[in-house]
Order: sequence, then structure tokens, then C-alpha cells
Amino acid sequence: MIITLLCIYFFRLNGESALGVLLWFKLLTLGLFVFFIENYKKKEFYYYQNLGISKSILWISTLVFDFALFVVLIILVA
Amino acid sequence: MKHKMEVDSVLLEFGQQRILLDVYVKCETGSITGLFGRNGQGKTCLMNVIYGSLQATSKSVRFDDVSTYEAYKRSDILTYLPQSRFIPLSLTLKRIFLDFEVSFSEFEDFFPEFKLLSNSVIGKLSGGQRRLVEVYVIMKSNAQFSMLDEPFTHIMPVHIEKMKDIMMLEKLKKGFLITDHLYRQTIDICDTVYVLNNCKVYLTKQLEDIEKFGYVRIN
Repeated sequence: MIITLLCIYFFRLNGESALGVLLWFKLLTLGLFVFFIENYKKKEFYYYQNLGISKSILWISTLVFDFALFVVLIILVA
Repeated sequence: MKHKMEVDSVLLEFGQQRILLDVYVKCETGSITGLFGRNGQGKTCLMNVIYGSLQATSKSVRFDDVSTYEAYKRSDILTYLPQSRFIPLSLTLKRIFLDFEVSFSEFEDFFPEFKLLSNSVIGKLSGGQRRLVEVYVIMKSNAQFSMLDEPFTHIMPVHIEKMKDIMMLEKLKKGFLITDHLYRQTIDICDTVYVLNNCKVYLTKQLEDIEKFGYVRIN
């Protein structure tokens, strides 16, 4: 969320010329986020698996929501 | 109706190192199955293979004779208490008990020291209290089977006795596969005991059998 808000802030400052860089920045930070969670929080997946929620559902819903929020805010600001 | 979980034909290797070979374990509802073995023999690996979170070269995991490759996708059949902390620290006890559909007031009756703590986040509790909550919710979960990896570690003796009583009540509804190095506390509630030694699992008949595999020195 913080990364998304930062991207929106820089998008407002620099306009459409910054879109490419911000898009790659967002994707890169998403990748780092996935890496961090998979390595340092992996035991916590057992909590959700014990509730019948698979890792793939968690990841897909989180990443789709986060990226969709980024896209929607970019469109609104543009 | 009794349900059964069977595991066999397990082959697990890490590179050149063979961890498990031709393992057979059977667990039924209404019983507690103990799995013992020296450190590094592969008890946790076996549980992860059964759960499906660790890929084995080959395995057959069956619930009521139906082969299930990824048991972690079936929380109605199998739940798993891993060795280390697994509940996110930011969750409140109320949230955790709601998620697992377990009564918090019943938990308070067993452990009065948790009264008034339902809105506390689990991260604020001591290590022993956290472990107690983790073991309790998995034991009471609505699954046919629960695998417990070192449930009594970090828990004080008085609470271990209570947990054993709860497990004895819960086993009327489900089956447990349990491993813990506190073998004296564990073995007296087990209906069946397996020992894992040199990649294989052996069914024991008496306490002395586990001594034979160099796991304990009874006298």
C-alpha cells in the first residue's frame, strides 16, 4: 500500500512520462515482497492452509488486489 | 464410522542422502498414533510429506482408501501443527478461535489464565501461551485427523496434563499422529507407537522396543 501511494505521488509529480518507470518499480517491489514473505513468513502459510485456504489463492488474491489498486489509482489520477 | 489414514511407499531423498524409504504408517479415528525417533531421522519430513508440503520422490497417502496427494488442500480431512510458531502474531485470540470455529469460552474453562485475553494479540503472549493456543486450536479443529509435531515443547507440565486430557476427549471424534521428544508424557496416551530409524518405520509392541532403536535409555 505504501509503495502504491508512493508511486501515485511520483506519478502526480512527473506525469505520464514516469509511468513506465513506476510500473517496473511496482512490479519489482511486488517481486521483493513475494520473496520476503516466502522466505521469512513461510510458516504462517500453515495457518491459512489449516483453514482450507491454499497458498495460491492467498497469493493470487493479494497480488491481483494490490496491482488492481495501483492501476485504478493511476487511472483516477491521470 | 471409523476413518483411516494410511501412508506407504514413501521415498524421500535430499540429493544423495536418503531420508525415508518404504515407510508405512496407519492412523485411525478414535486413536492416537505416536511417531518417535532420534533427531534427524525424518519425523518432521514424514509429516510434511503426508501433508503434501514437501515433495517426495514417491508416496502414497490415502484417506479411507482414497489417494490424496495434496492433503493440505483438505482442511476437513487433515490439519497440521508444525514444530515452530505458525499463527501470525498480529491476530487476536478471538479472531483465531473464530477462524478455527473453536469455542473460546470452553478454552477459558480449561485455562482460566486466558480469561479477559480474548482481545489480546497472540504476539503479546509468552512463548508457552502461544504454543498452548496453537496446539489447542489444531486439536479442536474440525478435521478427521490432526498431525502434531512436538505439541508439548514449551508448555509447562500442568498444561501438558490438561492437553493430554483434551486430546483423549478429542480422539473420540478424530485421529492424531503425534511426535514429541517428551516421550514419557506422550507414550502413555498413544494407542499405537512407531519408531523411525534408518529411513524406515517400525511398529513397536512394548516400551522396550523403542530402546532397541537407540532412542531412549529406559533404565
